[in-house]
Amino acid sequence: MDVIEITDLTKSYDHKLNALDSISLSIRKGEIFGFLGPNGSGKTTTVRLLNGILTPTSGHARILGMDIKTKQAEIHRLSGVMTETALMYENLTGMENLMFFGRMFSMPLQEIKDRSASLLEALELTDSADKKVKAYSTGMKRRLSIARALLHRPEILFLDEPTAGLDPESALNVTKLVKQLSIESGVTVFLCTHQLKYAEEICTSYGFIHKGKILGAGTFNELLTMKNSKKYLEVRGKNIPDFPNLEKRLDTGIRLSINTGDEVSGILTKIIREGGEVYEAKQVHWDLEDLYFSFQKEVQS
Amino acid sequence: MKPAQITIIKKDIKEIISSKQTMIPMIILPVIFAVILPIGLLFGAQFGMEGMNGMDQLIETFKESFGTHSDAQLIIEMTMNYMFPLLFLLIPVMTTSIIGAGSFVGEKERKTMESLLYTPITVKELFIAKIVGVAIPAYIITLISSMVFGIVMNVGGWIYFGKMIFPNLKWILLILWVCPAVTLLGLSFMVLVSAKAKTFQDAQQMSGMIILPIIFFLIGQMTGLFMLNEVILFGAGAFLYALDYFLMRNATKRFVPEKLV
Repeated sequence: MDVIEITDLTKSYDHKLNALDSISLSIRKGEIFGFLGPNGSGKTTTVRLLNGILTPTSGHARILGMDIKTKQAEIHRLSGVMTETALMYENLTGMENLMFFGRMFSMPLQEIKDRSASLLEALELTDSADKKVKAYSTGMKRRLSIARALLHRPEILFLDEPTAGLDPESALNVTKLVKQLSIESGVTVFLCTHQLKYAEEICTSYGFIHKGKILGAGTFNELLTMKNSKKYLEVRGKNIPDFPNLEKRLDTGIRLSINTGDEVSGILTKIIREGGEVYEAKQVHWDLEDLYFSFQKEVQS
Repeated sequence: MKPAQITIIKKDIKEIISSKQTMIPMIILPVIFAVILPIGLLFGAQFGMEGMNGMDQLIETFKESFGTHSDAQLIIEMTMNYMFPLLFLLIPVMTTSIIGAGSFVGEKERKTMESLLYTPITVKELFIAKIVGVAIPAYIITLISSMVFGIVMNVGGWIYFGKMIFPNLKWILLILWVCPAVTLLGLSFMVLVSAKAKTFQDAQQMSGMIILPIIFFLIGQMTGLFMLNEVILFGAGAFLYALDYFLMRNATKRFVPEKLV
């Protein structure tokens, strides 16, 4: 079942340039969808549109079958949103903030307290629960925003750069929490980021966006197929000669595109025969970064 | 009213109380207009008309109407019933402007409005909660100020007239009829401003325009252009309610999430 269905969604702020240009996506239940693109590519605009904060210029979208133009309050009841532009009340404590948002979602008082306590513990904020948010560090504020987004046990989670500004340990905690929600509770996650390594670690499908346009979307394998991606042979060594299928020169070696593993022994033999030395050789496939830049390169060319 | 709306109102009041930026001007202004100035008046009244520069026309009119009054009684009568009502209107205007700026533009400036918009409350419900959350504290401050002003003026009443002089019909009309209308006016102005203003200070400066008509009336009064009476107060209140209705309808249309973030 598609939890998020987007069809030809367009947003223009000035009726001249499109911040989002006719994007279409469908995301299945329980997926962790990585929405990847540089800053200003339209990721936050998409989240805001899907949650009714912005009105689309054209096109339409549905969240759990509900129209984003008419059912905003119902969508908010089932979704948790954390963006860089949705902050917490600085003059209230962390706990007071969660109590406030819990009441906004009509949660029973005891449930808000229990859920807040467990989220604050999972996000390592228990000791700061009674401090005013203005005394929090940037990372703590971000973790508190994540707690707010998760408080009412949403079915869909929109996370915009959730680990930006977090120390590695906190980032790992957040990643674990998001994965756990997806696997154990079937929560669908719409994760916007420009950190490709992070996305590769956590996401089950991807969408690449650039200047408001979708460059490609699907699972990693589907995207690889779209690009007819090849295997590579990476060789580290000394005095390595040139090859016609050379992809790029690395600091201490080369990367060659190959069709099958059978080609490897021939390549290594040629290097040694021509006076080169081989310290290490390994077959590699495209990672998310290769895939992302291959889509980006296509646009730029 | 829905529980979520009451939650927003309580949160807004809590934020007002915990913010020095809001609390300090909200205490200072009523103290000046309801305590310091009236006490100054009562103290100064004993020195007669010499200190009342620029109000000759008004004083002459007064002497004709209240010939039996002493100079001190004339001064108190004139200021309490003709000058202070207009000055007093600055209290609801300023408190609405300060609380409203924090509640509407402050949320935008501190980027908390977007978090609020992601909760399951409709924009209309949010609008009503915000309006009530500003109007109630602003009007309560006006009521408290009027009580304090009344106590100070009655002390003067006992000293100079030998009786209580507050409240009279003019002040009752002002507090219960005109002040709520002025509070609503300040509020609808603030909502309109909130779509344009980006910061708390911007909003306060823009909404400051609203005191201009009051200053115009005050000057008109001082120069004897007209005499504030119950009919004028009732008419002004009715006009303001009509204006409130028109502005509030416009403000509702502009209160859309896209302009609030």
